[in-house]
Amino acid sequence: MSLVAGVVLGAISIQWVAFLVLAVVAIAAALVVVLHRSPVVGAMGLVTNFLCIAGIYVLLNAYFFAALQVIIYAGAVVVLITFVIMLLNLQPEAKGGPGVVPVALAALLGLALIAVVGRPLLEYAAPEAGPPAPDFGTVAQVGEALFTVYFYPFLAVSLALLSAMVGAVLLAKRRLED
Amino acid sequence: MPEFQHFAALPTLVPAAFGLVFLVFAPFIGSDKKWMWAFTTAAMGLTILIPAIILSKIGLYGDVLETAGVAGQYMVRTDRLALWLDILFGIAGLLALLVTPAYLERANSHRPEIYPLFLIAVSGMTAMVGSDHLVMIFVGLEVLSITLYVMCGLARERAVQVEAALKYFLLGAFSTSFLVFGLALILGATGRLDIPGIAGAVLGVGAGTLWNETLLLAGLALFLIAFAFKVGAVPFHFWVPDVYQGAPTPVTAFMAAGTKAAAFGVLLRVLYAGFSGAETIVDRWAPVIAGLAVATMVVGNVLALVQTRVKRLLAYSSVAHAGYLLLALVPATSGAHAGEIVGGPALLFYLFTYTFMTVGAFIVAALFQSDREDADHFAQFAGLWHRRPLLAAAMGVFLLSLTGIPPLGGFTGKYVIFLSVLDAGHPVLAAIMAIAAVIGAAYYLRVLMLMFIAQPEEDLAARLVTPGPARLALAVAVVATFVLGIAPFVLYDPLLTVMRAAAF
Repeated sequence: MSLVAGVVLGAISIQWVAFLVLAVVAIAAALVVVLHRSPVVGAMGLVTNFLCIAGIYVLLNAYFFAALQVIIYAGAVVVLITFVIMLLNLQPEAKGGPGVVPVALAALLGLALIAVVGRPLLEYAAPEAGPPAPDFGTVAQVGEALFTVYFYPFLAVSLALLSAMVGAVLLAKRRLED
Repeated sequence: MPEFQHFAALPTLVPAAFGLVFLVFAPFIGSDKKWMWAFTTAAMGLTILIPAIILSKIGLYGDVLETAGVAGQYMVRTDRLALWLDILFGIAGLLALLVTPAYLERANSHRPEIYPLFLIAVSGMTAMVGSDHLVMIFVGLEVLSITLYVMCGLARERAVQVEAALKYFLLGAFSTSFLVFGLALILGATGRLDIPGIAGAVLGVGAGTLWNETLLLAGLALFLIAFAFKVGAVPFHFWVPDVYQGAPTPVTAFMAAGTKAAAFGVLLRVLYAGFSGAETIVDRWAPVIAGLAVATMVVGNVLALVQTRVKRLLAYSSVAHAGYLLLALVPATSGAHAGEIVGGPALLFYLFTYTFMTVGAFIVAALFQSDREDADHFAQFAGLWHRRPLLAAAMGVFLLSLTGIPPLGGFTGKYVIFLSVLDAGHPVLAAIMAIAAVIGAAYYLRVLMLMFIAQPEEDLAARLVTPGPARLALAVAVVATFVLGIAPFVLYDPLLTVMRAAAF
């Protein structure tokens, strides 16, 4: 109730509320991906997570990246994952996965990492950010960065993708010949 | 618009371009793999020549050739460190290529596409070491890793090979996620991903301008974990024996020498140029590197004692050698001597000797491996001296060099690391290194005794063919091992300037 009242009174910005909702849903969806036994539900959790992250990009004025996030991740990547699940006809994990001790250990280490990384963030007083530059995150700006500063990494990424593709073709072709 | 000097990127662009062209032509060449192999070998030779030529001229252009960048973010930084390592990658690739056709023909998984992949892997390595920017280092590492996953998976005749490829792929992807998370934290702490920018932020620790040290250290820790995976340092070494065992042996040789050199090149540059500015930061990571080195040397050597297969033995020996190299990182990157004559050149010198001796040993193992599952079992090597004296002598040279017996390259390499560690004021670490090397001697000697003293159990000589290119590779490796042992100054003296302009 106090959140709604805060928004109405103008003490809490609507962006803050939107961020809170998106962040909570994103984390919950990520937990579903990791914890749920059915791979299809996991894939849907992944879509939800990607869409929430896209929403956070929008809040950061990075509209182009939000669009890319939806098209590439929530679109192409998850479609591919679902496709593989359907093709392989994956069943929900029969057993409960790893035992209690490894899970507890992993959770403990994860929480420790969150504590180490998160504590300084709580203390961090963000400088008052002005409005972003008018061309921030536009296609033109991203394109310019890609073909100037990040020219060589861009070349190298295409090389990496090419060898991944060659590998996929080679390995799949072998199967058919056998 | 910034102006590019693509000249500086030639060591990366040339193997990439040849790799691309050959990949396009692979389907047209069809069944005649000999041509593909010949072209690739020639291109690999050119890949060695280009950095060598640039290296001979580098003084004329200043110490660094780099592309212009925006806001001081240089993606390509071609200095002596990068060029020497580029030459090393080319040598590792060339030696492995020379034995590849014979091996794949016998393993019945000969595909022409593997040759261009060697070139693309080399271009990934050169991209990694020849850059000032963590994004470029990451992307280069991905080019290298993805290409190696494919090369590992090309031979899939037996279950152990499939297991190796899958294990390498999954654990490699796992370590990549560590790297990306680490880079994100470093970016969060410093606001920069270029090494000069990070170095500036680290310098700010003393002045109190870095807003958060914890975040930076957590990022560095994840970065180190990722690279410890890649070099196979204990406790991130579990994939090494299985992958080295299952991968096609020439690929294993290339992986053992090339990947290690690339990863150590990056570690040397990032730790020395990026994170050595503030003593409080160095005091955090230098003991971690030393601890990793000690664990890796001891565990690698002890586990190698109980192996009964040559490839697995060489895999554990490669873990142990990663330990010696990590130890060389300590004086090279931290303390008062960092970047001076000790350390950096010692690390590079050892990488060179290690390349010749380990690739040589793997080439001998590759000649043994046939369609039989247990072809590299110790029993196969019994009495090699009585059947193939030259082959046994070559393997003997490599194993003695790996042990560190004078007058071979492995001895001088270990000696310069030992001296540099002592010089930097770590007598305990130097003593542990000596003890580990003595433990290591036990298992190399076991194979040597088997080869030279035992009688052959069955006559394998008829099945053991040594084609011309493989003989050439072995001869080169033997000669280089001797030269680096008897006249180390031919390589060590030029290497002394290697750390010049590796930082700013």
